[in-house]
Amino acid sequence: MSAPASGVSSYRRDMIGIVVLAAFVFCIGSLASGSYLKTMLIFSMIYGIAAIGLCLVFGYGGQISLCQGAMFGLGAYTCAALVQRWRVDHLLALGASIALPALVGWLVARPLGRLSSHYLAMATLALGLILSILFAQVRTITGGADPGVIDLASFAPFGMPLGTTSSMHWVCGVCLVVVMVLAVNLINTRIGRALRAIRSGEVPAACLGIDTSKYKVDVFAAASGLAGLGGGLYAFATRTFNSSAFEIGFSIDLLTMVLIGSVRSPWGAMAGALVITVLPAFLEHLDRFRLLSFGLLMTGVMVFMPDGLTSAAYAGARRLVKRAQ
Amino acid sequence: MTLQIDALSKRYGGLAAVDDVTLTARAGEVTAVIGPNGAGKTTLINLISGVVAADDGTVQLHGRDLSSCNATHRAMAGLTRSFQSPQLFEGMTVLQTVMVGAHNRARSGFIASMLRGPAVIREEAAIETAALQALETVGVPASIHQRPAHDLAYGLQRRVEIARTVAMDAKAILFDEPAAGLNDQEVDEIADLIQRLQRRGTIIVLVEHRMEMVMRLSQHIVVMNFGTKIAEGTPDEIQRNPAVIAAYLGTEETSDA
Repeated sequence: MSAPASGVSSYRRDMIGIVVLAAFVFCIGSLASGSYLKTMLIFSMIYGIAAIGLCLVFGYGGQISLCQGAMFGLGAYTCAALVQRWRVDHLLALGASIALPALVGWLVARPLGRLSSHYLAMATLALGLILSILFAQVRTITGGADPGVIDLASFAPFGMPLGTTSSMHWVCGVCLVVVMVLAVNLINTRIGRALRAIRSGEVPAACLGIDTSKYKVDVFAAASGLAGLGGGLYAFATRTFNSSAFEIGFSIDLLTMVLIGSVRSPWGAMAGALVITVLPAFLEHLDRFRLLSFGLLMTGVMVFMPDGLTSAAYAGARRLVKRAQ
Repeated sequence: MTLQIDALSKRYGGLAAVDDVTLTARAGEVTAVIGPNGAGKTTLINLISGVVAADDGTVQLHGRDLSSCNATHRAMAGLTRSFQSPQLFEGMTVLQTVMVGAHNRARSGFIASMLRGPAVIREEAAIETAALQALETVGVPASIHQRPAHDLAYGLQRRVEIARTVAMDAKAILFDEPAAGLNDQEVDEIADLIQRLQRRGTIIVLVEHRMEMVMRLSQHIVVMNFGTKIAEGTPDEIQRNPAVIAAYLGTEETSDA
């Protein structure tokens, strides 16, 4: 009798999830016509990509990062600057918006990796602040808070016009699916297990020959790169933005997405991004109670579903299936 | 084939936690380190495993100097340890926990793992095979491989922890009180297990308070008190050594004081 493989069952579940996600993106892309709905989903997917990165570094690597929003901004400005000033092809610009934040993340991660818990939180907070001040002040490149980046060319890699709302839905959808596949692959291999071991305890992990500092650097760089990809897509999706979009509050928003969805799973990060992006629109008619009700909802989730929405939904669904049997 | 510790020292302020300790642990033998509470045994394990940096002294495994290596690189060289309370990883099944031990049987890096090409899939299968073998070696039944490791009884958690070092294919294992918190039957089982590892040619250093286990398993005993080595020898020699008896029971003078 051979025991069921350890990673395999959860990996298979993740792969089914990927198929469902791809099918969802496909259905919305080809069937839905409302551009409001698609715009909502575009931003959910963009934030979802950055949140998946944060889930890897925080939920798996155990490193709290409060500069994910700033890395997102770095990606957005990299993309805008390359396209507007140097007329670089849009796909290459998008690639650079992954590469530059990943490189910056890689460079800062080694000194950051010596810190943990609230010290690490403060250091990443400081890094985020430094970057957002740079975004506001290096006006020759970023345009600062006013006017910022205006009228970025609509997304057209190799001259293919993909800038409409429904094309951008496809572009972001494909990116999200690819990112999800990469994330799910990673967490179901030895590196993913090593990251979880590091989060659980660095000393026992090191005593098993896991290079804790190297993996902490790698996952921080990967998370920064994903934030940058989100930022690059954001730049093409809004085409007009200024430095106020990437202030510290945005990093907190991304962290909230991960916490609400589920720290331990990229699916949770994606679901959290969807909720946090879409929910404010539903609360709009509450007018001045909007922020209050938003806060209450978030608190409620944290109190009653400490493992996040997706874990609670999964457990709930299993209970329902059991009761039905 | 030895683990050679030379003049290892660690001071915390004015306190010499480990002071100039020298010992040799040979493959195929169990070398026990005993001594009263606070004698510096756990600090010694921390120094040898590289978890705490030594002020002075050297650690050599099979003639290779590991003194300047951190815990990760010592483990990569085949020197690992267990902890007083089992350090299993949160949210992992038994099999996944042991698979972490086989981490360095594979080479593919971060990006390769994200792409999960055929090489990664092959490596993952090899890691799983190694983990299953290790679990079989330590006698963890297949029926609990998918259980969260944290949910297991204490004795089984110890076994899983030992399986993890077996999956590493460690050349030297430092056991820090493996019998702590176990009942008599579990102690016997862990002792059998350590003996089996010893017979496979693994270098074993055993810090333990349960004297019947120490006397049964070890060929070589080092006695520490106040951070220094006060005696060394076979179990018979140690049991008759007046300095050891004094350290454990106190001499007339100290008991009067």
